[in-house]
Amino acid sequence: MAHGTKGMTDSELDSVMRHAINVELPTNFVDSTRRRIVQEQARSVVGRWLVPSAALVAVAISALVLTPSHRISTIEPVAKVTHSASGTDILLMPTLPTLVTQPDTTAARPDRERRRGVPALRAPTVASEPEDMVMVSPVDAAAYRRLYASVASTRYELVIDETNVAPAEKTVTDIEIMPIAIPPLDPAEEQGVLQ
Amino acid sequence: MHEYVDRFPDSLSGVADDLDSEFDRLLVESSTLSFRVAYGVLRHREDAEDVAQEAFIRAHRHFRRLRNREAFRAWLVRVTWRLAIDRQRANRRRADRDDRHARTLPWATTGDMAIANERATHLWRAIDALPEKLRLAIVLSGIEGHDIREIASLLQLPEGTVKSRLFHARQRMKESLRWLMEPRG
Repeated sequence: MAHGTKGMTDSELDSVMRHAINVELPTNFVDSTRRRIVQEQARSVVGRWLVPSAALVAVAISALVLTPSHRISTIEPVAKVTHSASGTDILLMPTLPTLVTQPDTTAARPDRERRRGVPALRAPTVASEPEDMVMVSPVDAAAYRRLYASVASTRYELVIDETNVAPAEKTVTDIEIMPIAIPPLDPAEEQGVLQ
Repeated sequence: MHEYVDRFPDSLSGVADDLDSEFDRLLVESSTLSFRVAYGVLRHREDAEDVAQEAFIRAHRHFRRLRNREAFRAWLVRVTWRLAIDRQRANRRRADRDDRHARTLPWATTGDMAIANERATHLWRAIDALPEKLRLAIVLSGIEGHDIREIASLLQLPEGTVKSRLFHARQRMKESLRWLMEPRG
């Protein structure tokens, strides 16, 4: 007898426990779980991703089965979304308050800012072309890169708003995430931006 | 746009696929563990299945920080356990289910059904009477014969702590179940 307890040994107890607990997994458990996960994703969250580097300035998502009746309801923490004319391409452009509200003040900004080395920022130029491309001029690029460095590891989350979506439209089967990156600047060019 | 995409071919494309295949591998590998942990609390196959699946759905949501196999399984055990406890507490019909379950135990045969039912009822009562820390340890030890090292890994505890919890759990259970081994008149 183990540990001086009368009546049952450890191995006897373990045997009883194993009998009681080691029930067989339901045969369809894995497939059923996969289906539930897919349904869960289709029901609410279209995609999650990390902005992978400071060079990444925008992410375009092509949700192939995303119908116009879906709409992106939230993007956290901060982002701006533009739908393309087709309704199937979504342009996600991370934004920062400073980027949105601060215009190009290179010429007018106070000398004290210039002396402290506060970088000049320009509002992003977003083209209204069919592809809804983000157009970033070389002059803006360095400022962009500095700003996006601060959100380089931010997790963004897209959530589909299912209001007014018919059940047949709820399946999102494929999402393609394409990074749009700013090409590196040469040092002289970057220096010019910050002066 | 495409020009820029081509400059960063590996940045994001395919990440989702890699995640899904990796998650799927862990899903297949850990399904039984999660199901049995849930069953160890609920003793009801459908409820245990539902809770285990809910745990995997949550694991999928948080998978980016759970890609390490050991971290994944430890997280899965904790979440499954908590979900099962919550389900158990919320279920007002538990007593009825216990009765139904006792009539369909897999290890009970026709000849000894009454004794098996009685043993099962007392076994689960003894498990339920344990403090939660001891209870989880003894349930894990019963699943697939996990040894102390494996339980320590799942609970992310030192092996000495697990050994101590198992000792105390077994002592209490043996005391509760002593009558099972005594001659029956």
